[in-house]
Amino acid sequence: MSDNFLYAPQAKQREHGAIASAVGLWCGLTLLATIVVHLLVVFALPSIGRGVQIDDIIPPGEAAPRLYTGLAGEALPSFRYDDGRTDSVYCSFDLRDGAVRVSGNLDVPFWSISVHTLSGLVVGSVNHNATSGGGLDLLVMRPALAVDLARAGAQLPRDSLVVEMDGPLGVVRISGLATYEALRSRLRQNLSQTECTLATFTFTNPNASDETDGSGTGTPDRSGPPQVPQPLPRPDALTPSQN
Amino acid sequence: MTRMLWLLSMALAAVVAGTASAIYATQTLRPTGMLTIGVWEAVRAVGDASADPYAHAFLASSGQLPPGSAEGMRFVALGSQTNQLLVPNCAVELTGRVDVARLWTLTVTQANGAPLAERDARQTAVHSRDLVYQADGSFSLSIGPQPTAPNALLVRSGLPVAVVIHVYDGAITSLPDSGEAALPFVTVGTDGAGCPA
Repeated sequence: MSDNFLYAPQAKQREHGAIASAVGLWCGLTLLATIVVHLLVVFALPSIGRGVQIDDIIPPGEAAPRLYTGLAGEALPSFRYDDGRTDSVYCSFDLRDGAVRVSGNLDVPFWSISVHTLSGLVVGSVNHNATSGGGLDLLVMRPALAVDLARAGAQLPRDSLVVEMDGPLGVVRISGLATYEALRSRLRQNLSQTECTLATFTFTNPNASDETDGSGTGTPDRSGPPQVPQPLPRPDALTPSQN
Repeated sequence: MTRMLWLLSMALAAVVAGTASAIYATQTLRPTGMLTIGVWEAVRAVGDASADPYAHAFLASSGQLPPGSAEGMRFVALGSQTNQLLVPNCAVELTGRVDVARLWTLTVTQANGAPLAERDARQTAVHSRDLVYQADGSFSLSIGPQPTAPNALLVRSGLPVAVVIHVYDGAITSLPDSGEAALPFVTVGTDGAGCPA
């Protein structure tokens, strides 16, 4: 009796201690797991929650590059907080197909062009001050391709601006300012004449590639033309007849 | 069984709390790199590759395509100087000047940034050269169903709107965080149903 009397508070204390440590462990582990989930969601949001309008620009299976002009009843995406006095056309691209060239002659007082990832990040931008006479020539490519092209001695178009981008999918926005509302339709016509195509390159010195063949093996390749990654059809872009 | 419940409750709490806090942080909190001048906020260094993951997530889920540094900057006002919502039917008025650029535009959108419906407004944007200025270079512009200032955007809506100023000047990106630059003051009238007294 006396033993039990003496033992009971200690047992209760031990029981309380065990419960407290279990609760503490639960809280600590839950906090850690919460932090992990929080970071996972934050990092995943640009992929899973990318702008709905951007999804509209490049519908699944759509061939890229493609220029969206909004002419002839074509739906044009509208982004949040866009300027009501500018008009824009959009060029969607997929760098897995190769470099993309955006060119044109923009005869508008103020124009600008920006390259975005699908989540909206700005990769690069230029405005009318970057070129003379309104001529626009922009190349978007992956850094690895830029290195390979430089090694292979590719001739880039004269006065072209090069934007390097890691991710394969993106969009180029070409905007012009409508100084007068009456000029808006003409502005759209002008912007719509922009060309958005896969870039092609010429090689003036085929044997300039004396370092590597672009595969990263370091093997000199002097036997033929430089091996620069060429546009390849993606598996998801193949038509049934090609399959 | 107890241990399984213990683990399940922990996982459930972590998923709910982690997801909720991530959504709150990216949707409600302002990302770092925002430039604030009075009631105007700009997304400086949010849209470029140097953006932190929270800014990246904020941008991706907001449906914006922010201007690049060569394109200028976009300032958004969602409230007045006295924290009132900008309801056009209550006569929103902007007074002052935009001294951070010579070329700028002003656009009225829905509060979430979507364009206004055509039935609500015939004109939703003005250009800096469209306005009538006073001798000291300032201007006043009213946004509402009735023009109350020399410059007006006739918008008929009982819902809050956002006022967006796009400045087209490369030097704007080098502005400091302090309020050295001036943007218009925004006030909301008190006449009309549902307007602040």
